[in-house]
Amino acid sequence: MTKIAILGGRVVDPVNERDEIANLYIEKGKIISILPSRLEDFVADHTIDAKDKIVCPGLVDTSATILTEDVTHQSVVSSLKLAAVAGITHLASHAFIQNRCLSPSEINDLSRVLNQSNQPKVYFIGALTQNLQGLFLGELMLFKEAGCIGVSNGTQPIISTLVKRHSYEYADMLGLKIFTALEDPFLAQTGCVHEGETSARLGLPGIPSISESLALVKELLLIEDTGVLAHFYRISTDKSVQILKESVRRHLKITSDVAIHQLFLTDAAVQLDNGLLHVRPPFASQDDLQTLRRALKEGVITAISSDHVSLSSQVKELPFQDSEPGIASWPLLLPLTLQLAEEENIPLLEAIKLITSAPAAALGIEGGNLNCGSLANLIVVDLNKTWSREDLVKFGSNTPFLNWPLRGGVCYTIIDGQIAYNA
Amino acid sequence: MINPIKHLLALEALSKEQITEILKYANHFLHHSANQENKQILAFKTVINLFFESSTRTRSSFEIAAKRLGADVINFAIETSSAKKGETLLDTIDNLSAMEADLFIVRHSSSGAAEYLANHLKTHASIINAGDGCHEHPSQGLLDLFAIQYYKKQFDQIKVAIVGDILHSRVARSLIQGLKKLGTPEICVVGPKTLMPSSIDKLGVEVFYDLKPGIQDADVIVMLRLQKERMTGVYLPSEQEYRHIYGIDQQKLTYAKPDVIIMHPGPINRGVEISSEVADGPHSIILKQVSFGVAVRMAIMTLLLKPKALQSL
Repeated sequence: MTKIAILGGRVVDPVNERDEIANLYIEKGKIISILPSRLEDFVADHTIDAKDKIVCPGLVDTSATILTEDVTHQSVVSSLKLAAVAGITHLASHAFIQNRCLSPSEINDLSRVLNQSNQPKVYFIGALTQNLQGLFLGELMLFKEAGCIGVSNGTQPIISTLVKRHSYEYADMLGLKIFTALEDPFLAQTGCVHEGETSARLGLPGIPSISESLALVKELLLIEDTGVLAHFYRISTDKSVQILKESVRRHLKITSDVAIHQLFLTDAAVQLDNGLLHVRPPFASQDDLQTLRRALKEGVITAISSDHVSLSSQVKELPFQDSEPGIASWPLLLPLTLQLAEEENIPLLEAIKLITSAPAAALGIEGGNLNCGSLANLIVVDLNKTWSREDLVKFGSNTPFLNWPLRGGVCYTIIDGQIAYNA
Repeated sequence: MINPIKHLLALEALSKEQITEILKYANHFLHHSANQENKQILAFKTVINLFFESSTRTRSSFEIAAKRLGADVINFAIETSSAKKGETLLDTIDNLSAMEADLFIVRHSSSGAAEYLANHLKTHASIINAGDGCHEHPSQGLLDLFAIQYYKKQFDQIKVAIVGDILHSRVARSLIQGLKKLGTPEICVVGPKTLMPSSIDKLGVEVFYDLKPGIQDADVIVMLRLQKERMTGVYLPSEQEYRHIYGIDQQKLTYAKPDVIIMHPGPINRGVEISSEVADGPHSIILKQVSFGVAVRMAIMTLLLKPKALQSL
């Protein structure tokens, strides 16, 4: 095992409320010491000069798509290599893509391969109902034994409230958290853009805000009734935040995230002739965006996720209405969170928390901290690093951020004490 | 002074001057539509009607207009399943680019399809949007404006009411954009709440769910076609109820100004949105719209392909 010394960096660790210039030492995969002075008699195999750099926990992503329909081990590993470039060390992934669900044994096999790859750690989320059809309960115990940290029905609706209630009860019995995308299947059915002035002007079928908030209210009642732990993906509207506030006040056992791009774009930027701004949930209004930012500061929304998905130009370079939703957002997670901190006067420690320890807690996993004695999963960040178009396109050409002045990038990603990426 | 335009994709993208100019040349073609000299204007030009959605009227109108200008016209009707829409569009672009046509007239069920084609064509060809999803139908919008100008002489002192399925209407969106550009002070949209886009008022129109105040003292009433499949189901309870509330007949016509004109993009559902006596009555200019359509489309095509020809008119 490599002995690594990271010297002179600004160590930012929200869990331990540490924000100071210090040296960090890694041995046998673990952080053994963080201290302002040099550790005498430590002979490093690799020394990283972190002067003028940030040293912080690796990013934790609650929502990213890493499986492709063919689900080859190779494709997943190459996808994870990109995640490491973006500074991600832990991420949650559905164990299904569209209607193709991995079986518990497939999850086991894939996890075994991924664990040996020295790439970001993947935590799978199993299918809540069989084949996501919303008709019969999924084999939740088997998913749990295969290492799944939770269960979800993805974006597929469970129409029957009976099936839904029973699946939540069953998940609760097994201590499995449910991960839920909020959308009313009927109200959102044909829509592709936020319902408002833009949809009225462009003649695009809209998804009303109430689609999300109505789903949220129903979910909250069922969650309270069944006692299950729950996480809400991709909160996007003002109304949802107001409802969440009340739940937070009542100490319901819920967590939530907002996709990073939702904090920077609105439906006003939508163009008819391309699908670059086609996301689900759709970009909402400026008021919604402001509320989302406030909700992060106030702790109403728990964490920022990437909602990353890499899509081909064949499905993205189409008229907006015909394109598939999704943005290649991994490379945005760090620089846009830093930009958010600057624009909203959020202390760096707090901002880093939103993409490290807070999502780790939401997922219920180890990680997102620089505890001494813990496995070293961390990144070294250059705040002045800029992103070229070529850098961004590597993650997928489906990004509307090519011309953004993104600042802040990763110099090193260290996973379990090994250098997984070095810029 | 002619302001050349490469494509006609949306009235939202045109200036007041450009719209006025098209209306001016349309007036010329209305009065000289059968002149033999017109045949020289687009001689040796190839116009392709590319319709991903079925259409008889609009396609024929463009075809007649193009032929009167001496162009060669080819019709393509491409039926597509909704799942394959995007792929077909991409494939089609490359094929068509190779044909070296001068003008494509495109109708497609997706908003933005014409603009997408315009931005991806590999040749110099022009594109006219003949209806993209629920977005715009600019040549229809221009012929509607032409009809209003023909009968009302001006735009800045009239009330225009647009009645029916606003939500799905590209005709309404184009007309609203055009009327705004030309300074019409009172544009009212009238229809059931289920067929009214939320926030449509932000486009500068007044919203009415009740017909009477909506068309009160109107100078122009534009009745929209209600698709059969939307008459019963999640938007409306029944055809009868729609007719009862929004269908225009002689009695309801009395709410409007005595010299009101009744327009309709066609084809009309007789006895649903409009009674036969109104459709065939003295206020109706529905058939005149059809003949204006040819003149307006002649003007548009000339402006796009041979703007110099307009200087000598």
